[in-house]
Amino acid sequence: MLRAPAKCPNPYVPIIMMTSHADSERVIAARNAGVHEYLVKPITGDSVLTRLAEVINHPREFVRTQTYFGPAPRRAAAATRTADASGT
Amino acid sequence: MTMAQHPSHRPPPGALAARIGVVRFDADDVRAVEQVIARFAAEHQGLIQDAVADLHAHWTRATADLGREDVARCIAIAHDLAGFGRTLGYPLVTELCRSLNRYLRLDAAVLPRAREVVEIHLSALQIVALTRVTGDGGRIGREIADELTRAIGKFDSACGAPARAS
Repeated sequence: MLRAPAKCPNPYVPIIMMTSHADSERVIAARNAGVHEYLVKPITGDSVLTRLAEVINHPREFVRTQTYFGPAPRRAAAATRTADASGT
Repeated sequence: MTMAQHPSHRPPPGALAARIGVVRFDADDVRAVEQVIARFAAEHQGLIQDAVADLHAHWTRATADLGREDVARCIAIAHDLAGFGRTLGYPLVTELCRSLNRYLRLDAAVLPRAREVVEIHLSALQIVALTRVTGDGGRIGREIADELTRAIGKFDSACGAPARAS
């Protein structure tokens, strides 16, 4: 696993994966490995900075299950932000 | 219960937002990143040529017995080249390498029959690398695509098209 404590000195570090593969299978595999953001080439200045702003301004909570450790899914993280903002 | 209260969810310790606050990037920042990308591409122009030469060398060794080790090395180089191609302004290299890997990944029993189509890919890559064909390649790009289409069609009709995944 990408963020396994034995392999990764900082398992909470935001990971932006840059790749030339846009197929959904690889996107899902990257997400399941604990990647925060998936950036498909060709890389542009705007696409890099948008991802950087996302991981800095909206740090996602981390979730641990028996088979996964990494950032919470984006929709769940957005729901948390909404809930926290409304005080529920 | 919000996710923050859920026992299996926890905020990342030392999150950047807590240390540096909200960041906003403007048009100058975008331009600065574009310049870094352009500089990287300029500094690594030779990388495509070197990798194509490396690919040829491994394929030459592989053709003696189509040994899986050299073929595996060819697949790895082509995979990396596919990534560099788009980054460095050679989308044709990316397309050629993705197509090449569909054939290199064929079963060992079928691969010998794909030798011609593999070598047409390699020749095309060499032309693109040596003549520094950027973008879609214009006339040279179309000629390469036509020759490849013929070779691929010939192989696929005889042996069946390999899987799409690269």
